Amino acid sequence: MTNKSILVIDVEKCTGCRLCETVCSLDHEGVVAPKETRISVIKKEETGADIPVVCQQCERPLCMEVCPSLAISRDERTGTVNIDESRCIGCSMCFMACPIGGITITKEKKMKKCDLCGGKPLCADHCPTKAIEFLPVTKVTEQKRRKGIRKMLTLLNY
Amino acid sequence: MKRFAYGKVLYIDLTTGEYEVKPIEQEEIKRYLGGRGLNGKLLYDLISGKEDPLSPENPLIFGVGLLTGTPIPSSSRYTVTSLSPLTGGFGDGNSGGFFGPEMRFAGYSHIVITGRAKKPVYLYIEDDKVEIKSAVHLWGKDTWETDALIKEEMGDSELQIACIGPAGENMAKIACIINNLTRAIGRSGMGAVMGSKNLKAVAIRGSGKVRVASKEKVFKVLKDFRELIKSDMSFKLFSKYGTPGLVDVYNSRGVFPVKNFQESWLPDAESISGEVFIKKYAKKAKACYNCMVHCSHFYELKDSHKEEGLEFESIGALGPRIGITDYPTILKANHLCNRYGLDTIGAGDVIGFITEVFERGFVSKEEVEGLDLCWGNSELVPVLLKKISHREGIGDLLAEGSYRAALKIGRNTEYYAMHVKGQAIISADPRGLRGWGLGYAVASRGADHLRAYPVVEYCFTPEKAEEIWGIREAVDRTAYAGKGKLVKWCEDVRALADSLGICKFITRTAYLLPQQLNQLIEAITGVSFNADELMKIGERINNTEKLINIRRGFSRKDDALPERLKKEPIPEGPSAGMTIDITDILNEYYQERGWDLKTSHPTPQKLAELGLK
Repeated sequence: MTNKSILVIDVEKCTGCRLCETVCSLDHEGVVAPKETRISVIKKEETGADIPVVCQQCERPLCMEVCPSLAISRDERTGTVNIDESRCIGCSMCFMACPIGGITITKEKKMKKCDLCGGKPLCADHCPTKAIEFLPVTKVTEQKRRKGIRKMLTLLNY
Repeated sequence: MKRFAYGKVLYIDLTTGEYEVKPIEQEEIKRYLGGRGLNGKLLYDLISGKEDPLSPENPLIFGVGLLTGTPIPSSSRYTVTSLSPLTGGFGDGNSGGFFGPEMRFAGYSHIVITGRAKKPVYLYIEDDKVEIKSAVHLWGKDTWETDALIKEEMGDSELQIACIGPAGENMAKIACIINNLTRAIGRSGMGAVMGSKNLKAVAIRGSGKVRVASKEKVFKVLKDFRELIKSDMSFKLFSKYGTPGLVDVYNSRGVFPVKNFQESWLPDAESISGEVFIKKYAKKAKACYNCMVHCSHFYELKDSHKEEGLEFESIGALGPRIGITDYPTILKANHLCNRYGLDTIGAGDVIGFITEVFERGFVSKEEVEGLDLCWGNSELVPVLLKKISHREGIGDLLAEGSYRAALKIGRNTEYYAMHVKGQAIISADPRGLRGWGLGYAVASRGADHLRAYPVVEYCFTPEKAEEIWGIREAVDRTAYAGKGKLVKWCEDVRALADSLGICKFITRTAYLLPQQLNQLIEAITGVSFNADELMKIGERINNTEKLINIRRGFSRKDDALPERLKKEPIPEGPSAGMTIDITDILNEYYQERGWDLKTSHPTPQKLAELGLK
């Protein structure tokens, strides 16, 4: 519990290259399968937006609450929310309940989600611009605030 | 033999509306790899050579590389190949973004389109589903509107779309095909061929999987790659400034064409430098599929537009080439070219050409509709781009590109058309870059830098040059010696990158050598080639394209730079006084290639050696 870390995403740094998707599916599925990847970069080309979307490993996971077959559980030690494929009945309730699209439905209607690669997420590891970082929760707040006030600091000439 | 999970070809006849899927022979993949290489081979087999480039019989071939859509970095590229209405010979264009990988995910290595639809159509491809859909309501729309409308009507924002704008519809010979709004199959007028088929767009969606031979080897490649690019000069330049960083590279050497090559140096290029672009306009870095280089940017021009871009060639062509040295004009013109579907290089070149021949009195004010044609006329640029794209008035002439426009005008104006084989020369002046000059002259698709892309000419050490070509001067840009060897070698290596579907910016200097490329091929396909085998494949690809040009009547006389570059020295700057005469290095090149010195045709021995007829 003491060393809980989260995936922190900085959309301004994301170039939209989708290498995170590639390494995610390659490692989990052994193939490049963009429709099965547990992270997706949602793009809007007219505005230049590139937003990696991935499970946030909620403390109160809605996916877990709605799962009728109790296939989803939280690992209190690592903080990851996991799907037990042997119990999953493929109802896709988790997919519908998740407010951010953290669950992937495959062609075979299997539910898949980020498992933080067992503690060393490859998406963060391979991100060319560090738009995705895996950081301890004890450090992210100040870091985020620092980024937030960056503009103000520049304006004030600090 | 180990099989390649690659080579499914979709053949579509737009006249009949029929289609079929056939595999490419495995042996052909070993001979051509894929992408540009196999596109050329398919074209060679499908045509007699008599076809008019804008006729239904001319095939339009979309092809992804052997590694496109795989985890290999920068594996985003696809190539569109056809007989070119601009050159009259072999033509192709190559683009990045996300269309190529999506085509791979849909399961196809190639899509071969023949015939002509009775009314405008677009292709909708979703894995095995292929539909020819009406595009009557899309005809006349620009590329951005087309992209948005197709996504809306198919209810799928993730569709990948390659489409033409008004320029392609009106068969402007400098029309391109646009994917992801701003990425272009730019050269050779492939957009005009698409327009001639009444084909507005190809929209594609794939849910397939791409297998790799060795997951471990792929992750090792990714790791090695990250290490290698840390020290790579191309990465350092492009990851920060993108290609706008090249303004300084070329201008500082005095090889940056100004006013249709009348000059080649700006005493002060600060206003259009990479530095200014980054500071004033760029919002963030952008990248193509799986690319760590992120050479592109998302930029905004206040009160005008925002989009992904900008490329050095667009700065050069829509800037100094036409006397423009301010970003707002260049950015607006670039945006219009994207939306009209016009090749920025061809557009800037033809505007430069008409401005010069008007200024010199070869054409009258009436012949140019009374337009105020002069250098640096910012207001006129958007007007001309619109006219070209719609073939309105003078635009009908300019849509032919500078060479063909010159032929129509006559009066010896061809002297001012800065082209090879009808294709415009880029914004790197060959008078001060001998190897590049030879590269433009012999490139199969006409004046083009990416066929040879001999950056090694100014970034390899003499020691390295001696090791590879046995001549130290090969890397002296002002010397002639060794350039035939250098260009032949570069062309064969570059053909590999194009056929693998990986970007030339990672193969520019980082993954340049064939043995390095083999690491990528092996990790994905499990098939290993030695360096000689790969160089032979590159040679075969270049010779196949040459054979297509021979069928179209090309010979030694077509491998020539404009006379002007031999007669008029660069007037000022670091390359002042330089001209270029490629006669001797062309001989050296033909000798290296095993081509006849008189005709430029490959000798029977060479063809036999490469297994070509």
